[in-house]
Parts: sequence; structure tokens; C-alpha cells
Amino acid sequence: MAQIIVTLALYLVLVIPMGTYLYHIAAGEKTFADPVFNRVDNAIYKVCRITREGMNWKQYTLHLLMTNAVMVGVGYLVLRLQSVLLANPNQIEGMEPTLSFNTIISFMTNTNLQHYSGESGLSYLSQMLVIIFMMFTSAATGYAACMAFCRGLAGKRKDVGNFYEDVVRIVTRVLVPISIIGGLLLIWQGVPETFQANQTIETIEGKLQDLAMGPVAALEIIKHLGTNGGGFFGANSTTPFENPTIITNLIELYSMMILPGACVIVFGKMTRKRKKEEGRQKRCIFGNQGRTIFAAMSILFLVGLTLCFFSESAGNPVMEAAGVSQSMGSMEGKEVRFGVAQSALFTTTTTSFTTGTVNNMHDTLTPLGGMVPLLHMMLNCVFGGKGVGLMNMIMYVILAVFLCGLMIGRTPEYLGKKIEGKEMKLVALVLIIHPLLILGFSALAVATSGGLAGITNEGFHGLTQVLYEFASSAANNGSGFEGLADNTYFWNITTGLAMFFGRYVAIVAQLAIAGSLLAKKRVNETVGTLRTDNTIFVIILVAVVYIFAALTFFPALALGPIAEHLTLWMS
Amino acid sequence: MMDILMILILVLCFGSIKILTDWCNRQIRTPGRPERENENKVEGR
Repeated sequence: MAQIIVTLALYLVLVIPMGTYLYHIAAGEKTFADPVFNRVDNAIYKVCRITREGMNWKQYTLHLLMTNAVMVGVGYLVLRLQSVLLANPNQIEGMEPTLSFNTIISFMTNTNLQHYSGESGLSYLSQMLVIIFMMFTSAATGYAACMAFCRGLAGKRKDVGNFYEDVVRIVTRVLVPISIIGGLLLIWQGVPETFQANQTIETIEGKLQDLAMGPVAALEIIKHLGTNGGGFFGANSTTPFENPTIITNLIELYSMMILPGACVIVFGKMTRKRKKEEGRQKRCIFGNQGRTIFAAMSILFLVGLTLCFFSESAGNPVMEAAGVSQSMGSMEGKEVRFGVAQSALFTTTTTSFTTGTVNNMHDTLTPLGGMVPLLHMMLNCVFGGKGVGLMNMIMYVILAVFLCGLMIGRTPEYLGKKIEGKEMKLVALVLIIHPLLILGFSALAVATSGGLAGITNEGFHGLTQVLYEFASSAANNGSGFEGLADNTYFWNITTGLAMFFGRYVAIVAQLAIAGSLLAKKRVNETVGTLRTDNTIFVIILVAVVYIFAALTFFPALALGPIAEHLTLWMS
Repeated sequence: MMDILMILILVLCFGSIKILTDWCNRQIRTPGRPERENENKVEGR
């Protein structure tokens, strides 16, 4: 428990300077790195003929969609033709069409759901040109959308920024430099970085074994930093080649936590009032609005982490009855070098920050321990990845403001802008599309032979596997509960659609809300205005998130992990 | 054949998001306010 507290305390120390740095980048303010990166950026703008003119929300969205569509098309071709392209020393065949469809959507939407094993399913060219490249661009796309959204809500300029400028600045000033430093640290700890083919070695039992190799460290760092999650190897960060030591585990944890947390600080700083409006109010590192959101997200995160940790620490009663000691907690599917504490922390983090990387097998978590990652993907607003979690949480903020407005009989306001029916219609769309994708596709899976064929566990656990797969897809998380035979036409296509609409419907509607609020005139605060920067609002916000989740997901959770927990402990 | 089907699904997916973008734009536009000139340029109208 102490190591979890120390890890999280250190996170708070790291996230503040990163948030300040990211704010300077988002706001176009000067940073210490400008002398170097301005030249790089200007060269890119010149080569790509980027004009850097401000865009309205619709222009921004269309450029985002067009760029993503082109990358999806090129990536699909590379995956299909990888057998005849360069850098394929292990002679890997072209990927099957539905699997290519699933993989390319998965990586373009920053989900990184993998229905294949990287070491046997992808050539080195595909790993670099499709997987690693998209890990940068999809993450940058998400952060760019978040920056545009924050600018719209802050209302301090007439446009939401330039999409290409945002992507370039985030890639060159954040993702690439931190990836280089982090990648070198991983290599120092023993993570491979090579273009050699797989190595055949003789084990101590005298048998031969193939060791998969490749440019692992390069992928590993951006996998976490960009909240991507797709591993070089099928076993992801459980394998010592991806995550050999407790130091690499911490590097991976912090690299996936730092940017989503920093986005909240960016929002807080952007929406901070001007000095003369602020009056006697204390200036806060997170910004007053950012502090509220950071506090609400932290409460949701800590509640989940506590439940996961104590469920795993309690062990598995069936294993206990079979004579397997549970004194270390439930160690099934966990790495001894990480233990229950680091596994529970990693599990809660990877699903809260929607990364999808795993350092233990989620299928073997205890029922309640496994419910936490499932629930956090269903909420999709507990920090979340690549800026999208912040945007989702602000949807809940607007919903909370709207509900409070109804209760006190005032037109709801947020950040000095009136919330009207047109914004609420879009907020409802964002909040409903997520459960609709998860529950709709899950219902389809358990009602059709194509879906049922992939379920390898009967009963409650089987339903949890299905829910997890679609929750992971719709939340653009990408972690697998495993145990599901998912490389089939049904699973490849349905999860592909869930990932696609889970990502783009939300982004489009959220940018539209930002555009709508940007165009509105600011109204003056009065004594009757609902404060959204105090402790009471944090409590209201957390309650709204939990109530919404309970109303939409509780029946499904009751039939899955909760029923499994009761069966396990009652028997 | 499967390749054509997959590419067709991708085109339909992106097309539907473009329609959603237009719908959102209609939703948030203040009644009676003309569209800005640069919006027309993007859509090629």
C-alpha cells in the first residue's frame, strides 16, 4: 500500500511542470525549447505548406477527419501487402482483410486493440510505419482535439486553433523528445532495440526456443506516452522484454499518466479568469476549474484503485480451498516481480487513463478486481487518454450544471456561457453513444452464433469477457480481458465499428459544443450563479458520474462480475 | 472481394461522420445567422 501512495505522490509532483509546459504549447506561449523546436516546426510547415491560419470548429473537425482517413487508407494497404514489402526478415504473411480493418481502426483511433500477436503478425515495416507512426499521430490527434476544445470553452480567441499546427507542436515538442529520453531509459533497463531477426537459443533444459526481437524500446515508450497500449509482443507489458524491472514499470506508469493529467492543468490555466476579474480569489496551479475536475477524477480513480487492490489482496477462495496459499493475495496471472500492489495500480491506471497496456492478465483478476477496469472504461472520464477523458468529463460537468439549473430554476451557465438546448442535445449524444455501443454490440454478441463462437467461458465470466471487449473498444482503451477467441469476422468487424464510432462521434460533437460556446457572449456572474469551482460541485460531479453509470451499466455489471463475485464467495 | 467490402465499410464510416459534422453544425447555428464565408470554402460549395 505504501508503494502505491509514494507512486501517486510522485505523480502529483511530475504532472504540474508537465501541465505548465503543455499549456505554453497549447497557448502558443514561449517555452525554453523554442530555439530548437521553432526551426523544426517551421521546416515542417514549409514542406507541408501549412498556413497556420485559425480554424472554426467545423474546419478543424474536417481537417482532422481527412487526415485520419488518409492514414487509415495507407495503413490498410501496408498491412495487406507487408509480405512483399521491405523489413520482413521473419517472412510474415499479409494480414487478413477483416483483421487489417480492425487493426488499422484500432491504431488510428488510439485504441490499440490487438486481435493478433505482434511478434508473429506484423513485419518490422508494419510495426514502424503503421503501428509506431500511428501511435504518435493518433495521440497527437486526440491532444489536438482537446486543445481546440479547451480554446473553445475558454473563449479567449475567435477560433479554435489550427489542427496541423497543434499536431506538429505536440509531436515535436512533447511526444518525440520525451519518447527519446524514455526509450533510452528502457534500453538501459534491458528492453531490446534491434532489427535482427528472432534469435534461437538453447534453454537450461537443453531445448531450443525462439526469442522474438525487434525495435521494442521505441514502441514501448510511445505506447505509454501516447496512451496507446498496443504491445510489441502479445503478452504486452507482462513480458520481461517489454517491462523487465520495477523501474521500467514506473517509467511506463508515469508516461501513461502524465499527459492526461497535464491536460486538466491546461484546461484550468486556459479557463482561468483574467487578473482583474479574479479579484481576491487565490490563484491555483491547476486553475480553479481545472482543480475541480482534477479532484473529481482523482476521487473516481482512488475509489476504483482501493476496490481493485483490496479485492486482489483478499485472494481467491477457490484457490485457497484447493490448498494454494493466498497470503500474497491473488497472484494468478500476475508477475511476481510486480506483486499485487503494482499490478492493481497498473490495472486501474491503464483503464482509467485508457492506455490498454497490461502488466498482468485482466482475465484472471478476481471478479470485483476485474470490475474496476471494466467500470472505468465504461465511465471513460477518469482522466482518460489523449485529452479525450477531459472532454468526456466536461460533458458530465455540463450535465451536472444543467441538472442543478433545473433544480434551482435558473438557466444553466458554465464558464460564463449559457447552456441551451442545442448544447444539451450534443452532450446527450456524447453520453449515450458510449453505452449504446457497449451494450448494443454486447447484446448482438450474445444473441448471434458469430459472437457466441468466440466466448470461451460459460456463465457470468463469459458475459464479463464480452462486456470488457466492447467497453475496451468503445472507450478506445484496447486492453483485452483475453480468453476471448476474437480474431474472427464477427469480432474484428464489430469491435472495429465500436472503436470508430466511440472515437469520432464523441470528438465531432464535443468540438461542436466548443464551437457553440465560443460563439456565445459571456454573461456576468451573479450571487445566484452556480459555482463550479468548489468542493460542493466536486461532490455533485462525482455523484452525477456514478448515477449515470449505475443507470446505464449496473444491470450488465450485476449479471457479470457482481454475480460471479457472489457465486465465488457464497460457494 | 473482402478487401473491397472492408474499404467500403471504411468509406461509409467516414461518410457518416461527415454527415454528423454537418448535422452538428446545423444544430448549433443561431437561426437567421448566415454561414461565414470560409466555412463555404472548406465544403467546396
